[in-house]
Amino acid sequence: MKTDCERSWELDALREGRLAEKDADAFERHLRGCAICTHEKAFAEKARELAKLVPAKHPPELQLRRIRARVLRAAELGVPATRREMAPWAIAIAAVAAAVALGISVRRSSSKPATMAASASPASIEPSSATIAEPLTGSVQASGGAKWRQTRIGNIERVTLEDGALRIHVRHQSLGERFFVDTPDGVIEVRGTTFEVETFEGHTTRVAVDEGFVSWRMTGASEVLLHAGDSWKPHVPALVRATTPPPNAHLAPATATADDGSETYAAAVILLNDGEFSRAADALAEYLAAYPNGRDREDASYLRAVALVRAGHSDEAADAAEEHLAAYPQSFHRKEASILIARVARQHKDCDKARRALAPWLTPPADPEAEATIRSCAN
Amino acid sequence: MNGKRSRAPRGGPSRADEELLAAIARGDVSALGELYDRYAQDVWRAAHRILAGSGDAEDVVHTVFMKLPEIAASYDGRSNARPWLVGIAAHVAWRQRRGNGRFFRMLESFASTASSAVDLNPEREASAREDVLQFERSLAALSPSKRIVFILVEIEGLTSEEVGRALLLPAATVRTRLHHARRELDKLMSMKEHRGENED
Ligand SMILES: [Zn+2]
Repeated sequence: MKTDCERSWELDALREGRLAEKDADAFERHLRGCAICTHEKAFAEKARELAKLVPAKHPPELQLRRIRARVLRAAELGVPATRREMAPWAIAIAAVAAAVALGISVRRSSSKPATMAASASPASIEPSSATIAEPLTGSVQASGGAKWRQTRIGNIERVTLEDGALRIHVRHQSLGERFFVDTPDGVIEVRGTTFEVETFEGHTTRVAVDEGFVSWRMTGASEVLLHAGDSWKPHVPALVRATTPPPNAHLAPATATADDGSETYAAAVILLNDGEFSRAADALAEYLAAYPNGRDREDASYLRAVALVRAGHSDEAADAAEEHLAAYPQSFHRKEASILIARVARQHKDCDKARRALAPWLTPPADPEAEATIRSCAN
Repeated sequence: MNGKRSRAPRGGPSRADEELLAAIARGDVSALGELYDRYAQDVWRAAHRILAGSGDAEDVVHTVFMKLPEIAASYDGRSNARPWLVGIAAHVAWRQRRGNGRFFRMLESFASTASSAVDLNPEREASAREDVLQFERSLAALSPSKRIVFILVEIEGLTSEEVGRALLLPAATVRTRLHHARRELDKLMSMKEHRGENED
């Protein structure tokens, strides 16, 4: 039975008035005699009707109010979108917006955007949303004897699990906020989610997700995304916990040393968030030089590239991004770093280099952002 | 749909969308607040639909409006900013879910829970007939690239050109995908009509 008609695409063209009068007449004649087109036309109408009946969910009023306050405060302070996760989107959005308006690509300005005039009435801004220290966003239930700690520096919260099992609920993370769980042999990055993680004798023995999803990366292995209902266990049988956990009562204090560099790192992040890009880049370089075993080196080395590009030193930024990728081939920031490299190459009209940098993201299904970056490269 | 919600600033008529965007580009924070009040909910809804309940529609709203001061100057000046904002939201949302890798799977699992995930508001409850629920499930089961096009054109009311700009696709590709989206929907719906269930 014939199920396809090569003219059925003309249905939309007819409806939207894109057919010339003569073609429209011809197609209408075809339509009368074609069961397939007639069926497709009827279904399109039915689908359009049904689409209108799909109930819309109510937006969360309170959250939208909070976002409003944050957006206006940022605009008022002239804060550029320095929150980390904004960066790659920002680039893409600027490109889209520019494509809409001008049909050409936009090079992101490296200077700070002009400070917004403070013309909003203070009453329209919820006070304190950006001024008070953020409370911890993860709640942790620990098994008896578990060794763990929880810290938050700026927007970054970490739970470090040395031994035992935790059940962790993390509230939805806002943009720029990040939540990590460090285990002895890996790291989990979390959005809003509930999950369990278990370690035994220096190894992660289980990661199980109840809600949301987490990204789990064992040292030396590639990233695994675990969604609700998924659980991960190591393949090596020896690592799987014995049926009875050994008594593990005597707990050593958490192993934080007096100076692990986290303050230097935090200061650098604050500079970055404040738009002090050159100083942030210097502070991050200082951190990287002074703390060869610092816990935040991976983030720091990427952020240095971000700080440099924002400070207008795009060549140095590209070098920093390359160093980052060389040091952390499985980096959580690998795509962002690659795009940064490609964008700088594009500025130099080196599209081959841009393409090389983006290669992992251009294999189908290509990443739209990577595609956009390369598409607007012309040499 | 829009405009009604907008609150006029004290002592003045509410400004048109293109005036607001021009003011935002000049650094006017009150204009940003006004545009937010007018469209944040629409942006959220579009993002929520595209993300199929994966929960980050708020991130999309945040991103879109945080970036507005920077991109407002590139607005094309038409009187209704909604398609432009929804297009940007679609781009952001699309990127967001592309980034999370296994979302085909997520979509499949959403397909089985779509009807319970939507909250029906009372006045529409009467119209939540079986065919609407079935339609929602089928829509959720479409491949993401077709689904987003269908949502943007048929639910959000964007033109294929607007969708093309948002998703960085030629308008012709958008139309082709829309066409395929409908065919797939048709197939999914008639399959379900005749068989009722299909578990793996
Ligand atoms: Zn036909």
